[in-house]
Amino acid sequence: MAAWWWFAREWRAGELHVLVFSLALAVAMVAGISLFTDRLTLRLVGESTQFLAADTVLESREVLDQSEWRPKLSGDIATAQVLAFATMIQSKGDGFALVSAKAVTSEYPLRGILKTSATPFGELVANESVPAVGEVWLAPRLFPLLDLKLGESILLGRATLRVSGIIRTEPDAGGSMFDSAPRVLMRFEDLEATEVVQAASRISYRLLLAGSESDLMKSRQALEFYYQERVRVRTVGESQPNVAQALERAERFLLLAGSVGVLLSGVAMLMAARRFGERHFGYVAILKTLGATRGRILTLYAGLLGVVCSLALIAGFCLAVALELAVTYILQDLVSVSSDVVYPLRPFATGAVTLAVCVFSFIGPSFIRLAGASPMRVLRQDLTLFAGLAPVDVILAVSGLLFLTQFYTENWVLTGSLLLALGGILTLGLLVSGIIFKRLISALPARSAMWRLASASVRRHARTNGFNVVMFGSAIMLMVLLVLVRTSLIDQWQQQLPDDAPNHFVVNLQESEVAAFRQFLQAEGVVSQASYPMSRARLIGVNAKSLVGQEGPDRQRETNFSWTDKLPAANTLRAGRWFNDDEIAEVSVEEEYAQRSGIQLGDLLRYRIGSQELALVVTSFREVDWQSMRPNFFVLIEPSAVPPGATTYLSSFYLPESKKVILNELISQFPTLTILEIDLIIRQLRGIVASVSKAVEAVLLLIVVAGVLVLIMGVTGTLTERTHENAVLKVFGARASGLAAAVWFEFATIGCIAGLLGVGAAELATWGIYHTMFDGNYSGIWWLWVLVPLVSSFIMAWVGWLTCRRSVRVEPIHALREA
Amino acid sequence: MLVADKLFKTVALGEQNIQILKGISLEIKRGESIAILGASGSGKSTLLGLLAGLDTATSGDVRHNDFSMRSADEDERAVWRGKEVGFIFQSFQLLPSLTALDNVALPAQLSGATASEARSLAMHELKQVGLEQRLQHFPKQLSGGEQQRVAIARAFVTEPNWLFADEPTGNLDEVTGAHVADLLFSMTESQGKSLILVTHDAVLAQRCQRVVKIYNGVLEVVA
Repeated sequence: MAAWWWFAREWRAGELHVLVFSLALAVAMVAGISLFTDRLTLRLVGESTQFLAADTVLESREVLDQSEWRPKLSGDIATAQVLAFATMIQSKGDGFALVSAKAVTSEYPLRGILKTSATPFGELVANESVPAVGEVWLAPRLFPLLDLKLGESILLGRATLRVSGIIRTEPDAGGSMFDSAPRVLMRFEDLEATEVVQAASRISYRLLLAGSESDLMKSRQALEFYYQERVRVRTVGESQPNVAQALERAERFLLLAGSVGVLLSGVAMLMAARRFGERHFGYVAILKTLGATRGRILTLYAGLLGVVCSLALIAGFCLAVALELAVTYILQDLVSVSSDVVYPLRPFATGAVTLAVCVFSFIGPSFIRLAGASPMRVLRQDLTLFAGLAPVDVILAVSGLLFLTQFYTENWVLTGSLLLALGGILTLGLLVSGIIFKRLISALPARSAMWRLASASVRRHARTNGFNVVMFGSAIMLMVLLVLVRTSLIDQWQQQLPDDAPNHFVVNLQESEVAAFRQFLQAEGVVSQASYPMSRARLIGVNAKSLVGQEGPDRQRETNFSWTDKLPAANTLRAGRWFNDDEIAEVSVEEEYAQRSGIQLGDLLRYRIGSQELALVVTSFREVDWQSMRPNFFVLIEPSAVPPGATTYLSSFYLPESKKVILNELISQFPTLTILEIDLIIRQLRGIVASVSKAVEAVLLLIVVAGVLVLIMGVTGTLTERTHENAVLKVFGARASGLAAAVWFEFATIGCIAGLLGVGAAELATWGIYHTMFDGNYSGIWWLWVLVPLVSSFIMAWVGWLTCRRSVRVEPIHALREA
Repeated sequence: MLVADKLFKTVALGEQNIQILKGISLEIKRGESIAILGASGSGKSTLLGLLAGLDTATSGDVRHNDFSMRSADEDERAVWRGKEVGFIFQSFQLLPSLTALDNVALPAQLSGATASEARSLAMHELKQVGLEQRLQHFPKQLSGGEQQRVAIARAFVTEPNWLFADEPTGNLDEVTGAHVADLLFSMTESQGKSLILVTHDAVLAQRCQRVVKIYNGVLEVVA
C-alpha cells in the first residue's frame, strides 16, 4: 500500500487531524518564536551597534594604511576611519584649552547619528554629515571657555580651522565618556595640515566597518590575521556595558519563553501520539490477522508518519511565518519591518530539528509499540497498547525534552531547572492524584446520589486523570513560570530606570567646587546624586612584568578609578574579599574588565598616578549592574592607598528637557566641568525593556494556545469511553443533571490538583532561574497558591464540560448501539 | 491437518492467574467443518486464537503440517496466517477508513498482489457475496449483514485453506444471521475449505460436520 494512499484514507476518516495539527503547532511555535526573537534581537543589536558607530570596530595605536586593509575587505563593506588624540587649541583671543580631538572621514558614523545644536546646550538636531574639510565642530563648553562664536576660527597644531558647528552627541562616545577634555570634531583630511600626529604620538585609531554578517566575518578574520596583535576588535560590551547587559538579559528571557513553548509542544505531541497509538491498535491487530508482519506494519506506519511529518513541516512553517508577520505588525513600533524581508535559515532549521526529535522521542515509541501489538486484540477488546508509562518511553521522552531545550537555549542551567521541575510534577503528580482519586475522594461520606456518581466517576477514571493532572500541571507550571519571570524581570528593570533616573553625569568637578555645584543645582530646583571621587591612572606593570612602550591594549592601561570604604550599591562581590584595613594596599576590579585584561586575584598591579607610582594587590572581583545607571568604576582602590593629589569628582542628576538651558550657566560658572548627556542610553534601555515585555506577551499568547490544545486533547481522549459509560448509567436510572455534576466535579478536581502542582513547581523553577540566570532574588508569591488552583479549576471544569457535554446528553439507546 | 496438542493457556487478570484452557487436544482435517460450542467465558475464543496463530499457548502446541506455532515467532505466524487463514469476526472488524473494495483487497495486497490485482480479486469476491453495487461504500454506510458479507469476502480473497469464524452471526438478527450463515457454509463447502466455527448457537453448530464443546477449559466431543 502506498503511504499517500493510506494517508488519504486515514485523513478522510478524521484520524490524523490531531496528530498533524499538534506537530504543526510545535513546529510553528518553535520556528515562529525563533523567527520573531531573531528579528527583535537583530533590531536591538542593530540599535546597540550605534554605540560603536559601526557593526564592527578595529582599534589600533597606529594609523592603518588604506592600501593594506582595503584589499582584505569582502563584499560590499562600508568603511570609515576615526583618529582620536589629545591636543591644545587656541582661540583668537589667545585662549588655550586642552581638547580631545577626533578626526573622522566623511562616511562617519556608519551606524547611529551625530547630534548638534545651533547654540551651546540648545535643542538637539540630528545631523547626517560631518564637518567639512577645513572646519571643526566644538563641544558646547568650549564656547564660553574660549569666548568663541560660530564662524570664528581656532588654531589646532599648525592648521587654522573654522568653527562651523556645535557637537552634542556622538554615537560611539561610550569609551571616552569620562574623558575630561571637551571634544573637537574635525576631518581626517585635515590631520596632515595640523602636523600634530607624528610617528610616536599617542593616538587611538579606529577602523569602522558595516555590512552583512558574512562579509563582516570574512573581513574581520582577514584583517585580524594580517595585523595580528596590532589591532583589537572593540565590542558593544566594552563600549556600553549597560546596553550589552540589558541585551543579554533580553535574549536569555526570550530563550526561556521559547524553550517553554518547546516543552509544551512536546507534551501536546506525546498525548496526540498515545491517542493515535490506542486508536490504531485495533487496526494493526486486524492487519496482523490478515498476514501483515511486524516489518510490514513498521514500513506502513513509517510511510504514514513520513507523510504526516512532511505536511506538518510545511503547515508549521507557513504558520510560523504568519505568526511572525502578525506579531511584527502588532509590535511595529518596536520591531522595524524592512521591505527587504529576508528569512534566516536558523529558525526553520530549528523547527525541522524539533520535528525530528519529537517524532523520535514522542511519536516513535507509540509507532514501534504498534508494530509489536498483539493480534489477539481482535478477540480481546480489553487489551490496551499502553499499560501506563513504560520506562523506555519515559527515557525517550525525557531525552527528547532535554535535547530540545538544550538545543534551543544552549544553557544547561535553564534546561536542568525546567526539566527538574517537570520531573517533579510527573512524580508528585502521579503519586498525589493516585492517592486523591483512588482513596481520598471515595473515603469521603457519600451524602447524595449525585455525590456518589461524581466520586465513582473520579475513581473510574483515576489512571487517566492522574495522567491528565501531570500534563495539565506541566502546562500550568510552564505558563505561570513565564509570567512570574517576566513580571519580576520587568518590574526590576523598571525600578532601576524610574522616570527621574539621573540622565546627566558631570565629571572633572574640582573638590573645591562640590558644595557650590550642589547649591547651583538646588537653586535651579534640580536634585543631585552623591558625588564620587575620581582620578586617572596608567597601568605600568603586572606582577614582575613591566609594561613598556606599546605593550598591552591601550584601553586597559589608561583607566579612571575611584575609591571608597564601602562596596558601592549596584556592585556585587564575585570573588575575593572587600577592603579591610590592613597594611596591604588593595584594589578591586570589575569582573569582565579583569577577564579582558587577564588580571587574576592576588596579582600585583603597578599604576602611575601623575608622577607617583602605586603598587596594589587585587583582592576582589566585582560584578557591576550597569543598568542601574549609577556612576560605576572598573577599578576601585582602597582609600588609604590613594596618594594625595588632585582629585576630581563625578556626580549625576536628573534634568528634564525643559531645563536644559541651565547647562549653559552651569558651564559658565564651572568651566572645567564636562557634562555627559546620557538620555539616549536611558531611552535605549527603556526601549529594550518595552520590546522584551511586548515580545514575551506575544510569545505567551502562543504558549496559551498550546496549553489549551493540551487541555482539549487530554479531555477528548476519553470522550468515547465516557459516552458509553453514561449511556449505561442512564439505562440504570442516572439523570443527566447528576452526570453533569460528576463531569464538573471531576474536572474541577483535576484542575485544582494540577494548579497546585503547577504553581509549586513554577515557584521552585523561578527561584532557580532567577538565582542562576538573572542574578536576582525571588521570594515567592503566596496568593498564587490560591489564585492559580482556583482559576485552573474553573477553566478545567469549563473545558471539561464543553467537551464532555455530548456524552451527558446522549440518548442511551444510541450509545448502546454504537457499543 | 491442523493439530492442537495438549494446549494449556493461563492469563493474568489483575493479580490473579486464570487457567483458561486445561490440556486441550484436537485434530481438524482439511476440508472439515467443526463447531466449538461453549458458554461465555468457557475459553472458546481463546482456543480459536491459538488455533489461528493469533496467540501462543502457555504449554502445548498447534501444528499445521511441519509448521509449529510454538516454534514460530510472531512474524512467521503472520506469514502463515496470510497464506493459510481467513478470519470472520463477530464485530466484523472492517477498517472504517477503507471502502468495502479496499477492505477486501487488503489481505491480497499484504500477500504481495499488486494494487490492481488485489482490486480485481476483491471485486470478484464481493460479487460472490452479492455486494457488487456497494464497492465504494464505507462500513458505516453498510448494514450489519452487509458488513459481515464484506468480511466474508475479505476472508476468502487470498484463498486460504482454513476459515476461522468467531460468532459470525452474534451481532446480527435472526434472518440476516441465517443468510450470512448460508453464505459462509456454501462458500466453504464449494471451495473445499476447512471451517472452524466458534459459537454458542447450537443450531448453527449442528450445520458443521463435527461439534466439540468446551466446558471449564476442557474439551468434550458432542457430535
